[in-house]
Amino acid sequence: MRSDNRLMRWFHTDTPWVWLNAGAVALCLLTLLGILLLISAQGLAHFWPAGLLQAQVATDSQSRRIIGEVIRHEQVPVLQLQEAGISLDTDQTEVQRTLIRNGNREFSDNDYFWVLESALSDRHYPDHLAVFERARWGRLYGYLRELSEDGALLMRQGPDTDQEALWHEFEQRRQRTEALQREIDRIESNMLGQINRTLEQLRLEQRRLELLGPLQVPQLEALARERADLEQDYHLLQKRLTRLQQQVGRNRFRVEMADGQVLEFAMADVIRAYRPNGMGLSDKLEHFGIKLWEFLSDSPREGNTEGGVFPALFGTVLMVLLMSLLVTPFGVLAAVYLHEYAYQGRLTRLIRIAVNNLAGVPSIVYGIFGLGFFVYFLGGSIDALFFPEVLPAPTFGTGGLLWASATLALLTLPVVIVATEEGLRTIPTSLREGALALGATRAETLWKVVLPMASPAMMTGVILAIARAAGEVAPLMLVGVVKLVPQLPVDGHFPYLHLDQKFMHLGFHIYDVGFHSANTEAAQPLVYATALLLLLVILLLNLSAILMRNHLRARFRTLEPEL
Amino acid sequence: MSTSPLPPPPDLQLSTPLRKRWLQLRRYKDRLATLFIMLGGLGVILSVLMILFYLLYQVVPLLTSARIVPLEQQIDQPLSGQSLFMALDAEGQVGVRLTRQGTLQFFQPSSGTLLQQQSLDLPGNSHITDLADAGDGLMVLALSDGRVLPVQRQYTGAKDLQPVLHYPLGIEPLSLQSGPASRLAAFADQQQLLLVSFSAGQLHQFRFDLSRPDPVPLQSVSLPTPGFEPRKLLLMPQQSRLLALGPEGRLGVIPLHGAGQTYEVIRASREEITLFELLPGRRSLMLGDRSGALSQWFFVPDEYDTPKLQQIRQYDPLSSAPLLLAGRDQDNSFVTLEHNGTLSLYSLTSSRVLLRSNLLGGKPDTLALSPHNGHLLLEHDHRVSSWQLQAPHAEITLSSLWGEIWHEDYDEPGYIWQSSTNATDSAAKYSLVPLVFGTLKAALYAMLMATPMAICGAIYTAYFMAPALRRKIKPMIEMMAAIPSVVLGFLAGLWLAPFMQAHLTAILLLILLLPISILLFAFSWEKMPQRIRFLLPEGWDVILLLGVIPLVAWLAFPLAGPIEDRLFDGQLVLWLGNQVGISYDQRNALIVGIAMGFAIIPTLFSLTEDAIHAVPRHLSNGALALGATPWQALTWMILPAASAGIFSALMIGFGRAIGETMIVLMVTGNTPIMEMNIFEGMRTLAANIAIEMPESSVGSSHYRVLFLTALLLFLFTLVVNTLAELIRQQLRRKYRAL
Repeated sequence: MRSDNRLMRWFHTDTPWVWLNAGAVALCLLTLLGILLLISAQGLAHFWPAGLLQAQVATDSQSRRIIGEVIRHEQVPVLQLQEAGISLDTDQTEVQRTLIRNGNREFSDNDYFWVLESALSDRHYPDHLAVFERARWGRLYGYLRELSEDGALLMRQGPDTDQEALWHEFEQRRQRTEALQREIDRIESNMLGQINRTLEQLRLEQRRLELLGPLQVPQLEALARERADLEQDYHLLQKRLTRLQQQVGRNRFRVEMADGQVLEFAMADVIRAYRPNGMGLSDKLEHFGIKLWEFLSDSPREGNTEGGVFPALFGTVLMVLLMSLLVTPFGVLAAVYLHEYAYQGRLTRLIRIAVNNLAGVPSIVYGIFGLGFFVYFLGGSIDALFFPEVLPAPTFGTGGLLWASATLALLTLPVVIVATEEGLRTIPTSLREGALALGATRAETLWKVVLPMASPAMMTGVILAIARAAGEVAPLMLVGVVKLVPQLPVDGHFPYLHLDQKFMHLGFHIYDVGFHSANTEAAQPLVYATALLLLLVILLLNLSAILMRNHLRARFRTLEPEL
Repeated sequence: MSTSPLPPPPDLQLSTPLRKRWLQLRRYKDRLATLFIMLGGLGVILSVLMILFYLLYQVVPLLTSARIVPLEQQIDQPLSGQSLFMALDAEGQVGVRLTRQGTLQFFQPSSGTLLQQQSLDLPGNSHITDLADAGDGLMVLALSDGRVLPVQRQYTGAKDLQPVLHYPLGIEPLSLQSGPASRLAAFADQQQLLLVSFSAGQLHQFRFDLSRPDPVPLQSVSLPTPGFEPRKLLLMPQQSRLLALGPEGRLGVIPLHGAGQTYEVIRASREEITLFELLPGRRSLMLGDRSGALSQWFFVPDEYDTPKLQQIRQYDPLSSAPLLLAGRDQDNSFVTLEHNGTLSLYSLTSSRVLLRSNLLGGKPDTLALSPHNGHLLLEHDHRVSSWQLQAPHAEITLSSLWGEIWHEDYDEPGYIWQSSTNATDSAAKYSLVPLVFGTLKAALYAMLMATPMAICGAIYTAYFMAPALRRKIKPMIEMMAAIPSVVLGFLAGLWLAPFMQAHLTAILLLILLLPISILLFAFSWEKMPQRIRFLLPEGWDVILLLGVIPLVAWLAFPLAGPIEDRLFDGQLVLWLGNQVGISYDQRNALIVGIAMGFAIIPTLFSLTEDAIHAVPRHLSNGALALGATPWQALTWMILPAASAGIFSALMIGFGRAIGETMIVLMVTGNTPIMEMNIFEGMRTLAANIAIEMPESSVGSSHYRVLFLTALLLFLFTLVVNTLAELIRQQLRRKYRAL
C-alpha cells in the first residue's frame, strides 16, 4: 500500500533515529522537572493546613465515628486484603481505600489507619473541629468543650456560651501560657544549663589538678566553696522554675474525642491550636507561613516527625563554610606551587594526573580515611595531650565538626586545585614578565598581579567544592554527624565555636528520618520538606558563589576558561 | 626672565640606606614566600596522596605472619607426676595440670610461679584412668576402681586468683549403674551434665541434673555400640552424636538418645588415627593420622536430612604423626603438636600452614592454648614451657577472602560475608566475593539504564540541536548533577519503590509505548502542512516531545489496568511469583539501576557531549558535502572519531557508579547475597563500609578488612580514571593533528 511505502521510505531517511535521540533528551529533562515538582509538591503540602474529616465507619456490625486528616487514596487488590485477613464480599478485583491520620498518639497504637471507601459514610467537615499541636504525643483532634483554671470551671460550651467565645478565650489563655512556657524554657536551657556547665568545669579542673598531684586542703576548700555557691544559685532558680511551672499548669481544657469521650488536657502542652475547616484563604496562607517559619527555625520534636530542622540547616551551612575556609588556602597554595614554582617535568605531570584522579575517588574512602586518621589518630593524640582529664570520654577522639570539615576539605581539594590551575594557565605569561621587568619580585608578581586575576577561577573552584560537599553524606556518617544534637556547635560560651561537638546535617537528616524513624508514615512529609530545603540551600550556595565570581570577573576583567 | 634650563632634576638618591633596606626586605619576603609556597604546596599534595599510604598502612598488618615467642618468665622447676591433662583457665591467667595420681598443680604462666598444689582425695590407691573435659572447667575423672568423679575448677578473687574445687555431684565418686567405666565422654551446660561411658563392651548415656547435687542420674540409656573397643570418645551434642575412635582409622558414629537407631562405622583413614579432637564449639572434628595427614570433618545433612559425617578439607600435611590439638574460636585457628615436637598453626578455612617450628625437640605430653591472650603451654619431659602466640589476623588469608569456603554451620561451600554473628562461638566470615558481586551488579544495572539515555541525548544535543537551545539545555542537564545522591536515594526508596510495585504493568507498558509513540508522532509531524511545521525553528524538536511524552505517560496508566487484568490475572507481581518463579522484592536492582543511572547521567552526558562537540566540524561538513544524511555523517564519521572520548566517558561513569554509597544504602535491602535476578537485592563495597565501619573496633580483623575494601575501591577508581584520562589526552593530540 502506498502509506506503507511512505512509512518505509520515511524510516530509510534516518530521521526516526534523530527523533528517538531527541526523545532521550526530553526524557532526561522531564525526569528532572518531575523530581523537582514532586519534591516541591509533597514538601510544601506538609505545611498547608489540611481539612479535618469527620465520618462514620462501619466495621463488622458496628459503626463508629472517626475524626482525622485524609492523607491519600489508594487502589488495592482484593487478594492483598484477603491475605491480610480482611474479608470482603465484592466481585471487583480492586477496591479503593483511604489513609487517615487520627493523631492522639497516647490513645491509639497507630496514628495512621486505612479505611475502605465503601465503609465510610456521613462525611462532613465541621467548622468547629479543632487540631491541637502538642509538645508530646503529637496532634489531638476533637471539639473544644470546656476551659478550667485551678480546677474550677471557667467556661463550658452550652446554650449561653457559643463556640466562638469559648475559642477566643482559649486562644488568649493559650498565648499567655505560651509566654510563660518560653520563660521556663529560657531558665532551663540558659541559666540552669550555665550552672551545670560551670559545675562540670569545676569537676574537670579538680581532675586536672589531681592528675598533676594530690590536692592540698586549701585547694579542696576553694573548690568546695565554689561548688556550694553554684548550688545555692541552682536552688534559687529551681524555686522560680517551680513557681512558673505551677502557674503554667493552672489552665486545663477538655476536648470531645472521636469516640465521644471528653478528656482533659493541660494547656501548657499545646503549641498551636487551629480549626482548619473554618479557615479562609488568608488564614490558611498565614498558617502556611507560620508553619514554614517553624520548620526553618525550630528544633525537631516527636522523634523527628514534627517541628523543624533548624539544627540540621545550621550544621550544614556551618560545616560547608568551615570546609571552604580550610580548602581555599590549601588548594590555592598547592595549585600555585604546581603551576608557578614546580619544575615542569615528568614528576609534576604525574602529580597533576594523580591529583586529578583523586577527584574521582568514592567519597566513602575519604570517610574511612577521616575516621581512621583524623578521628582515631589525630583526635586520640589531641585528647591524650590536651584533655587528659576528660578521658575516657573522648573530646576530639570522636567524630565532630572539625574532623567532618577536614574530611570534606580533603575530598574537594583536588577540585579546587584543578580549577585554580586552569585559571592560572590562562593568564598570559606576558603579564608576569611585564611585572618582573618592572622590578617586582616573584612573590610580588604573584600576590599583586597573578592571584587577583585568577580569583574568578579560584571562586569557581570553591563553588564546585561547595556544590560537591553540600550534598555528600556518606563520609559524614563516619566522622561526626548524628541524628539529634542537644545544642548547636555555636553558642554563647567560650570558645563560642565548639569544634569537637557533633552536629546535624540536612542530607543525613533525610536519610535518618526517612529510613530509621519509628513512624515512617508520619515522617515522610517532613523528609520531602527537608529534601526541598537541601536543594534550595545547594542552589543558593551555588548562586551566591556565581554572583561573587561575576562581580570579581567584572572587577578584574580577565580572560578566563570557558567553564 | 631668560629661558632658563629645566629645573635641575630632584635629588633622587637611588641608593639610600633606607632604600637598600627596603629592597632587602622585598628580597627577603620573596624568599620566604618561595619557601612557604614550596613547602606548603608540596605538603598539601603529599597529604592528598597520603590517603593511599594510610590505607596501605592499615591493610599491611593483615599480611604479617604469625609468630611464637617464649614468655619472659618460665616455670623453672620440673613438675612431678605423670601428666594427664593441662589447661589455661581464668582467661589465660592460670595454668592447671592434672597428674594421674590426682594432683592438681596451678601456676601462673606470666610470672612463672607455682600458685598451689592440691591433691584430690582419691579413694585408696586408685589413680585416674581417663578424663573427659565437659567444658567450662568441669572435668569428669574415671578412676581405676571403676567409679567416676566430676570436679569443677573455679577461681575466686579478681586480682589474686585463688583456685577452688567444686564437686557438683558430691565429693564421693559415683558408681555408674553400667559398671566400671573404662572410657568417658562428657558435656555440661548450665543445667545438665551429659555423660557417656564405655564399660564391658557397651556404651551407656547418663544425664545428671546439676542444679541439685543428686548423684542419681535423670536418665540412663544404653546406646548402640560398635564392635570395637573405643580408644577415645567425643560428644557432639548439637548433632546429638557420639564419636568413637577405633583401630585402623575407623570411626564409630553413634546417635544419642535414639532408641531403634543404629551406629555407623566410617573408615576415615588408611592409617592409624593419632589425633582425634573436637574444636571448641564442638562442631568440627579434627583428625590426624600416622602419615601426618590432617583433616577437618563435620556433619552435613544428606538428601534425607540426616546428618552425615563428611570430610570437609585437608590441611598441609605434617612430617610426623600429630598428637595434640588446641583451637581458638574467635579467629578459627588451631595449633597442632607432632610426634617430633613441631608446632604448627593453621587457620581453619585455609589449607595452608601459617606457622611451623620445632619448639620441643621431642614427644610432647600435653598442650594448652588460651584464646584470650594467646598464651600457650607445652609440656615435654616433665617441663612446662610458656609461649606467646602472636597471630592477630590468622583468619584472613587469600582463600578466606576470595575462595569458596565451607563453613561449619553451612550445608555447602559458599561465599559468605557475615561480619557480626549472634552466636558467641561462631567466627565472623569475611568473603569479599558477594560484596564485589553486588558492586558490579549495581554498577552494571546503573550503566544499562544511564548509557542509552545519556549517549543518545548527548548525540542529539551536540550534533542536531540548535546552538541557541543547546546553550539553555546544557546547564539544565548539569543541574541534574547538583541533586545530591541522598535526595535521589530517598525518592527511589520511599516513592519510586512502592510506586513501581503498585504500577509495575503501567511502567513496563510505558517503556514499550514511548519509542513507538515518539516515532508515530514524528511520522505524523512530518506529514503536517508546512505552515505549522515551520512555526518551530530547526533543531528545536525537543520542545514538542516535552509535550508528547507526558501525554503518553498520562494515557499509559489507565490503559495498564485492563491489560493487567487480561494478561496477568490482575496482579503482575503475584503472577511473576507464581508462574515464572521470580520473587519481587520491593527494593531491587531495577530501582537501584534507575536511581544510580539518574545520578550518573549528567557525568556521562557532559563528557560524551564534549567528546562529540570536540570533533572538528570540517569532518562532518565534508561528509555532508559528499551526500550523506546528517545521521549517516554522525554514525560513520563523528561517532568513530569521538569513540575514544565516549569510551573514556563510560569508564568515568562506571567508576562513579562503583563508588556510589547513599543510593545503594537507601534503596537496597543491603543483604550480601549473590543473585543475578534483577528483582533481588545486593550489598556493595561502599555501602558495606558505611554500614559496618562505625561498629568496628579499631585494629581488629574486621576493621582492617574494611580498610582493604576501601583500598580496593580506591585503586579501582584510580586505575579507571587514569586510563580514561590517558585516552582523552591521546584524543586531544589526535585532534590537534587533524
